[in-house]
Amino acid sequence: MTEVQRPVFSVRGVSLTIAVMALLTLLVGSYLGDANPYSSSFNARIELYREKLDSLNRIRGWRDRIYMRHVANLEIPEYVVSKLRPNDVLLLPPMEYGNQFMANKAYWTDPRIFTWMVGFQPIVAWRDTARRKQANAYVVLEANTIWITRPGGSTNIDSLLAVYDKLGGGQ
Amino acid sequence: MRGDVLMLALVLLMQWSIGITTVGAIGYRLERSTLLPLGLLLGMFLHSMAMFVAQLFGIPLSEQTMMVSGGVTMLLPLVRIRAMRESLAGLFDLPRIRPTLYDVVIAGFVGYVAYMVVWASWYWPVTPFDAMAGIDLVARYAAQEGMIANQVFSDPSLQGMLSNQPFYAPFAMLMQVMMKLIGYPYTQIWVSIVAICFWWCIWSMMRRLAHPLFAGVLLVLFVLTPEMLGYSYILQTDFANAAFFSIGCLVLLRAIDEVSLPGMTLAAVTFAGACWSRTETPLLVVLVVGMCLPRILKDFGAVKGLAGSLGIVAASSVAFALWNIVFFNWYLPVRPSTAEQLRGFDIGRFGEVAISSWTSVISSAELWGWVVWLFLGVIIVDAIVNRRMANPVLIGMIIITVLGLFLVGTIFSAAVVEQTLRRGMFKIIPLMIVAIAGSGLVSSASSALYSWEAGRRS
Repeated sequence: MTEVQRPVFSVRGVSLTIAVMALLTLLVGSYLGDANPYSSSFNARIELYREKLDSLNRIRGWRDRIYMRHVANLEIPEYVVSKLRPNDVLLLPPMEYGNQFMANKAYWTDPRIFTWMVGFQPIVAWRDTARRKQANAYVVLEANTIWITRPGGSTNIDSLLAVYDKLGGGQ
Repeated sequence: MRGDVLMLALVLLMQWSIGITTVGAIGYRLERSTLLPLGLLLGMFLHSMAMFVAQLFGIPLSEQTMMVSGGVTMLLPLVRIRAMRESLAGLFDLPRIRPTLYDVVIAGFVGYVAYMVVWASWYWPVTPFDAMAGIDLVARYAAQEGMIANQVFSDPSLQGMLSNQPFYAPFAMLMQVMMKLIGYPYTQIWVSIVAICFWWCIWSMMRRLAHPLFAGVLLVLFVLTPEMLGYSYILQTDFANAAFFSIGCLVLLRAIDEVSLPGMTLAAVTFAGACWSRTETPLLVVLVVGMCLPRILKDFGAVKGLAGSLGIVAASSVAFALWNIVFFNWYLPVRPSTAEQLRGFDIGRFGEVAISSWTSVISSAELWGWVVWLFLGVIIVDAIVNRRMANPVLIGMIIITVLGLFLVGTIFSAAVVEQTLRRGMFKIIPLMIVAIAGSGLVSSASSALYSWEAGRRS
């Protein structure tokens, strides 16, 4: 289609502008309820941030921003690493075990995510059946509590592994 | 100005220049409003590929490598300076913009969304599981160690645990490496820049087909497409892949209409960008080119048509092979288990994938807004009212790409309808938007609107 020159300003142009503004208001507003899929998505993906822009911009540290997004999935790896001893090889529990105690999915149990959060560490994934036996440190979770247990500690490792196994399966 | 901002601006300018001069060297004339966004997209692709080639020669990834590889890629098109001069003539002419009031309103709204998208991509760290487990993890250690084949692929803690995410096509990973080298260790700013270029390109292509008001409203619908809006600032491979693939389709369509071999060459480069950004794309490119082949052969003649079509497939294959064959076999210590994920074609499963894709993905207004239903409505009404299809090749591209996605879902066990095929729709939505803009209905309405606006009788 060949573009035709349009008058820059005209009464008809103003009425088209009003129509466009009405359409935009209708699209991003909640006037049509569930019939309008654009409104909820726009609010969740754009407006939500616009409303909090000032307060969010005050949070400048990267650790804080990562925490806002990943919460316990950052906190747990950080805590666990801070408690590791030089010769520890940590067995990451199956995700299902972590899911029991977290509001979000416990994807920190995936060794790639664990590494993304805290860098390379001496860890063994639960799915890594070949290397599982090398582990000598284990994560124990309870409501609002987390600790690392080692052979000879207060927690029975066999019972803990049985729970891991029951929740995560042998693989 | 902060050093990282300056560096980002410099790299983007370099990439812009690479893309624009490449289009110029190809000798294809594009209007400036399409050339500018497409230039930056192509520049990003070619720059990332140049860095990758440097890595193939054993050069560590560093700030210097990034700048030198960009600089060299910027100089390469100069070998065809005459063609460049011709096709880029007028690039620096003063723009003749005569915006009306509603253009300003639409531009203001899209500008606001663009601002928020850039902010979100700069502010938030990488969030999607796939990106943290793959693209960004590999990029982080590539930037640290200077090697793509880094500790991620060799550390015992990840051995056998990599799955397929770290092996995703390299475009997004290399762009992340660049961002980290520039000084943005956790963000994904380039994702929003790709999104803006994508929107701009689609808008400019619609402006050629429809009245600016319709182009603007359709652009707003495209930008606000619920499922795509979030991906315009979070790190994944799909959005960039959709940008390259759908723009490749539209450039090919235009090349066919204009019977232009340089246009086919540009489509080949754009499709190569698509294959550089997602692994299954060559299959879709082959299907699209195959679908267009009768028309290409008819319009271009057998020799030119076949050469152009094979050129597109060859460029896509090279982009695919550089990563999936050359790098995997000769550079990486481990390989993905892609072959295990492949299974034979089964018509029953194809039907299941098609039905579940339609019911849970394609027909969902929650995911795609009104675009899919608007497209179907416009095309059907157009066919009834005008007794013809306005853009049969484009409609064919949409259908064949949808079928291609079903095929991907059928033969790759890892392709899950609710995830992989859902994001595969990113490639279809822009094509549907442009098809609406190019329909007979919108074309008639555009003519009527031009007349009404000018106070003439239509």
